[in-house]
Amino acid sequence: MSTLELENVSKQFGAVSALEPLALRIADGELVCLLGPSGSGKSTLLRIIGGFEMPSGGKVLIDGADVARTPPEKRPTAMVFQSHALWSHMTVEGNVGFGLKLRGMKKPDITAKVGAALNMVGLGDYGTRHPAQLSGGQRQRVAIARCLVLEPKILLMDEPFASLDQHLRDRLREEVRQIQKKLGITTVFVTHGQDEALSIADRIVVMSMGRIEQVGTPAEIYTHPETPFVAGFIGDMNMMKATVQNGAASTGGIRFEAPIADGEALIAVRPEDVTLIPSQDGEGARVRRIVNYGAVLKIEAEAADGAVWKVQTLKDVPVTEGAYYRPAVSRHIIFRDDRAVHRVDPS
Amino acid sequence: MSATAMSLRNGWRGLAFIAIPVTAIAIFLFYPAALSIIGTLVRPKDGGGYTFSLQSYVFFFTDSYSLTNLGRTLWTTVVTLILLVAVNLPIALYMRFTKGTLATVIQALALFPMFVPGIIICYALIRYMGPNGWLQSLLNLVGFHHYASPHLTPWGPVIGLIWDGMPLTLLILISGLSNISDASIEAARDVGAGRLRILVSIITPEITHSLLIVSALNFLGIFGQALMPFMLGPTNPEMMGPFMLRTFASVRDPLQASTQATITFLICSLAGVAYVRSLARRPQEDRK
Repeated sequence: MSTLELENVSKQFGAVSALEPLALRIADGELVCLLGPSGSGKSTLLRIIGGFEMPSGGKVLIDGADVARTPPEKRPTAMVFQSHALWSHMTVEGNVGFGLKLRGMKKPDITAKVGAALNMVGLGDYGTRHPAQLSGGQRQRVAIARCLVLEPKILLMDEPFASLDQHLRDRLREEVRQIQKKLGITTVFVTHGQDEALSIADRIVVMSMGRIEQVGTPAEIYTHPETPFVAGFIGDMNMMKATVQNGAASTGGIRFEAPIADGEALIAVRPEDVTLIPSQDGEGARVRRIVNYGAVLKIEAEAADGAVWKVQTLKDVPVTEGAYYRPAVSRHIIFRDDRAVHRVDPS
Repeated sequence: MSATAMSLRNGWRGLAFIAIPVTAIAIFLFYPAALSIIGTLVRPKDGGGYTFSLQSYVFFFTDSYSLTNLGRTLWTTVVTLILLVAVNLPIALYMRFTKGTLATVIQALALFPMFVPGIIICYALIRYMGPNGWLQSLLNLVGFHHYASPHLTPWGPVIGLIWDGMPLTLLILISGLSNISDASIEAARDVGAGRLRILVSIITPEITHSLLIVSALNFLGIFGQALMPFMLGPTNPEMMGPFMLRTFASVRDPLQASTQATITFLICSLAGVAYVRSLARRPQEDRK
């Protein structure tokens, strides 16, 4: 039962600011994903929570106690590293039980706890093996068991599945989510994969250039991005420049309602919010490419003004390459000065 | 061409590729070494012909001077080996886990002896720590007049061999340490290990292979060392290297010199076997 609070946490590497002062509160049992591109500061923030980096300023509060200056070995946190970081000279049991041994636990108790942790990650029969005898997925399970066996207040995961193939990544992600829910352990999960974040997180913290861009549930982040960066980073998005005049803006062959002051703006539309209506040749947008993804089609259609629409439809919708369609948009967001200033959302 | 025929042809090409160096080693190394060893065991009889005899080995192992020399050589080897690891491991650890100008300077200083010929190292040591050398002069200047030079004591060769062996030891240890990822050290800290525990339980076992190589190569180099103890000056007892030289060149007893060489070779071959086993075992472990 633990909460994590970050108050004005910042980090400078020399003259470079890796993290601007930021605040975040993570509730007990919550799984929060830190999502952002390389260099956004997400791993630095995770390492500050874990004690591997000292913050330049601010507080890291776990259950109200400031641990910002506490070394990792004395923090109630445990981290799963991207590269497994198993000790090759130890068996699986040795790796998982090492932390318990350091805590002076008796051997029978260590054996019981290690066995339970390995069973939880599905490696009950692998205790006597060495890491070199395991697959990548099994190694990462051992790394997870090594953390869970210590019953940390906060579990930290630094892109734990980045080195695994897609199929294994999806499976392990689900397993981790189930274990996390079962144990109710507060978890901070770093990833640069938007699908991973959307599928696993209770809340997502989108980061860019050392700043938090937006915090919200996966649904909020996806449907109500607050900045163009979030809109463009999460999922596919049509981002079109337009000039607003008298409460409206035209781009890509569509006139958008824009009840804001006249001037430049950015209009964002999700591909699945665009419908293609058959039209006469030369009107609307010409379909120049269709890619079949099985259940859905991804279409590119070029409007007369040169704007290219990315459209996603169900595979049963009849669309022909080279034919003309009139795009219709059910939902859009208008950004100005890097903030969302108007939304049209039928839901 | 079938796959089998192609594989066979490639096999012959491979053998042809290594034939010249292997033949050269056999002719110029193994053959004279075998002749020398056989010469210590098969001796000419007075009336003509040859007989098997262990007389020269019996002499060596019953001669107190020879045994003392063997003991001194072993002592020098073991002490130098321990000190080499003790001196170089902290430097290698510092260089592995510290980045910056100081680490680069230390690395340059530690590797410097690699580029200095052994004979120069010997003279430098004599001029520095020998009687009336730099060290004694400097100590005199600060009022210390009881300096006893170690260069003709058992510690003379030890100091010289440490200086000589530092670069190789350091390079192998750094190579071993570079295989330990930062994440595995951080993972150990994360589960509660302090610095000493990390050194004992994580780093040392992870570099066992490098420590074995360092020990084996240095053992071979130090035990059979002739130049350093010879150049530093005559001692009593003496190391096997100068002992062999003197027995051969001054005493003019090639049989005893060959016997001493054979015994030295047999002891060194134990370290050689450990080295080869260590090399052979590592890839198998990696393949698991």
